[in-house]
Amino acid sequence: MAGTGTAAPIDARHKGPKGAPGSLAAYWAMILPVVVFYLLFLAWPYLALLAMSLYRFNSTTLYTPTFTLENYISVLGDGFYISLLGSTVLLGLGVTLATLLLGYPLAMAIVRARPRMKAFLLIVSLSPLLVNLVVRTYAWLVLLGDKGIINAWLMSLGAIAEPLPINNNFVAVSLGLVHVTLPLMIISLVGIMERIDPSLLEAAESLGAGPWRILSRVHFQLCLPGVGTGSLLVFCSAISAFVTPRLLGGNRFSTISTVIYEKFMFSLNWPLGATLVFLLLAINFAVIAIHGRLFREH
Amino acid sequence: MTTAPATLRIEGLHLSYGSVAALAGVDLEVARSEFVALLGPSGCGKTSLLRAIAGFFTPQRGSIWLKGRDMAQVPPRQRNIGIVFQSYALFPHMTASENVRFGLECRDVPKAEAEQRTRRALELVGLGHLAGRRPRQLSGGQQQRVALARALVIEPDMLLLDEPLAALDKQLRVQMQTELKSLQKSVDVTSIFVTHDREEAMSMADRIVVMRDGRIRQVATPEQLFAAPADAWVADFIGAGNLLEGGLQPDGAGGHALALGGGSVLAAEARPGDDPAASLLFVPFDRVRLAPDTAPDGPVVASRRFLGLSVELHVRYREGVVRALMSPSAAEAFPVGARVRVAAERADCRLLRRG
Amino acid sequence: MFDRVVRLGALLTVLFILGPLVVIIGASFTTTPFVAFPPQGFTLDWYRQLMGKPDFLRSFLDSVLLGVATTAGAALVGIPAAIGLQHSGVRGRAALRSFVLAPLTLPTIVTGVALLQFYYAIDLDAPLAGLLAGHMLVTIPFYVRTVGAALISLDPSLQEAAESLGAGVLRTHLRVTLPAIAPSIFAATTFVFITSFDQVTISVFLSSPDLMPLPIRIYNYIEFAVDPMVAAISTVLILLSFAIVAVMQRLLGLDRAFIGGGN
Repeated sequence: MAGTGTAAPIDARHKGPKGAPGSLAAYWAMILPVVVFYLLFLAWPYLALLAMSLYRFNSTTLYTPTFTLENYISVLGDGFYISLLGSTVLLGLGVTLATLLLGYPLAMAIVRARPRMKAFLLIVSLSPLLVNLVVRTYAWLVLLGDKGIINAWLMSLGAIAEPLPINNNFVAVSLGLVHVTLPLMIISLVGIMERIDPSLLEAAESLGAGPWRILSRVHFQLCLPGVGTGSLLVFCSAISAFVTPRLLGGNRFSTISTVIYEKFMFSLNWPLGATLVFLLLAINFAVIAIHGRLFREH
Repeated sequence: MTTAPATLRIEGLHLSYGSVAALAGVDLEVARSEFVALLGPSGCGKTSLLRAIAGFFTPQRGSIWLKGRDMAQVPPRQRNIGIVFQSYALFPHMTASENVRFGLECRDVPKAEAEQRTRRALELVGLGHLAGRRPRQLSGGQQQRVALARALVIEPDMLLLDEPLAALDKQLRVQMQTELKSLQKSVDVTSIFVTHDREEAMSMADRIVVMRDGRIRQVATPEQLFAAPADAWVADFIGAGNLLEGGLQPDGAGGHALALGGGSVLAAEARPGDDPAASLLFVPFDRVRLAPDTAPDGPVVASRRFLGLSVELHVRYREGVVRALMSPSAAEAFPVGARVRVAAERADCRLLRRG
Repeated sequence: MFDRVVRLGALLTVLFILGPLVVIIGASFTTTPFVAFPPQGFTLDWYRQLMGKPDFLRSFLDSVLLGVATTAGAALVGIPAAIGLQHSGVRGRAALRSFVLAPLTLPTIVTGVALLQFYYAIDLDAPLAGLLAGHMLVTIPFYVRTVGAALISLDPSLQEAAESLGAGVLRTHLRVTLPAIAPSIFAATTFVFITSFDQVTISVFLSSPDLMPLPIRIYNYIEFAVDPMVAAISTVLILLSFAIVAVMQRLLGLDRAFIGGGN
């Protein structure tokens, strides 16, 4: 029993070279609630979702519980879904590259800065994480709309006559997602850059390497594990996001996630939506596996 | 050793993690008020032994008796053993006095009494004025004193110290050795401490337990240990003296002799159980005597190390090197390159089995 | 030259991050009926209009309630689990830990739809309980990870010291372990509350007209209209977040809270 104080029955515990005091049962009792909770609200719903992807769509009862692979066959055989898959992956790659290019110099500046400046830059970098996702996306909606701020500026300056097509498309969704995911890249990069031994860079400099060579041959190579982690986080978040793509992409630009949302909330084709969910999960796990293979030695 | 009943008795203790044996049959008795050092290289089992006494490890076989009570079924919190951890393990969120009082709280000591005992314990270690500080506001030496006060305030049956001085810098360490020893005597608490530092063991302990590979190799007072190490490994580990290689021959007077060339011969009295084929000749560094010599194939002074109060001469002979310790003035007679005759009293030499 | 390029790059990124937020805050004071930046004139009308929207106010209160409940629930389940998972005697704890941390890896949208069809299948008619479970699911891992990391870096001798002084399991954890890792627990609590308060992806699937957290209220609103009133409520939320972070930085130092628990 946990915490019956000094009157606890004395038994043969305190085994093993390490570990906190007390009986093992007490520790299992601490873990049990979380396990039960996760079995009930994670494992069970996910298994139900898997079953759903194998059910047959029925427009009146939502689905009929007979197992079939036809959802998977129709998704993988349909040009629409294949091109959806393509544009989703492309979006993920574009966002990842952009966060890397934007995040790298800022991460370097953070690591070099003095304590006060460092705290300021860290708060700035991480602030998107703390500002509501809807609010952040709303900001881009306001900036990029046909009557949005950027178009209004440009038109009042006389630079353009017609609004630029910068909303409801790939560019708009990418910009929004870069803003949303940038902190993940910066955290990963700062994490790895903090651990780089400065004497390695000094050694390269003493051997005559200029700053660009040090950056490409030493610094970037040393940062690769962080680049890998950051890219993984950004890519997976980007392809799985749906609030930002939905609001900024409108009806004209879709990703797998926005279609999942649409299937579950509007067209109510849950079996097909569930099938797309497992397509999305498959991409996620494939990327995680690739990451694991590439960065195993680190 | 003493006639008083042992405070701690350990019999046939075996302890292993998985397939690795940490203790392979340990027997030990510690008398009341004794201050005992567990000395050995890392991985020798000294820390495992300490933790088994504390109750953090459960031995597979053997028993531990504290004040005549078998500890097998007693969890650490009921053993009434005070422990000073290597990291001190002071609770970071509590002040010095709250740290010290914690053990009294656990024992439901009335508040006023606990207050008083805490104050006395802190004064005992000279920290009465810093009672309100938190650990991170204290220096390493002060933290150690708090840890000591915390372990002593519960009036433990026994005090265990795990590498108590390892985290301190050299100067403070020497000062604390003296302090710790006098404190142990004045509080009169039976104590065991673990160390890998032989000087620390020599300067503080009443008796030293030398361990290797989960076994006790020798238990002796520091003086005995230096004069008569149990085997060549112990002698080497504590740095007691020369262990000389070469063919040991009967010396015609009932002893064993080692010829160093050029007429230099070291001889030891034969003792029962000697096995010349498996032994080295042991001579303490400061018992080696040198004399100028001219024999062409005799030992030569190869180098010298100035150690401040003494000089160590390295004398090369056919099979190896003899180290001799002497005062700087005495060493002046033997410059590097000089041929010397090496000698020692028969009584100072002995055969030690290879470890 | 090189240093200048790095600094310029960093500056551009800072502008990219802060720009949209500044635009929103500025636009909330415009007198125009559409969003304009720089704002035309200065008015607090949009904030006044916000006060006159009872459904926004109710959603705000619902979000606070949900956030508090989620934080309490996740702490009660997550912190003991982190301590339990630390114990070497627990078999398969590596697998258990990955199981508990899984929601961090699984896309939130998937968890959202999984719960949606699960609640439909079991016919759950308790929107608050449903949302609470969903929010706890994605916040418990914060506690397990942050507290777990703090426990790993905690000197194991602390617990042994408490035990050797006579403390039982309960006293050891309540008087020594938990206070010693209090800063990490405090950091995790702050993040869990913010995460729950800002949670959109799961809430979208689980909220109902009767129980609509604030982010979902805004989401539904801007699907149809982009007017400066949303800028006003956004400004309120931005300032709220920054206030929380500023307090945390004061008390803890962000480096520790973010970088320490990362990866």
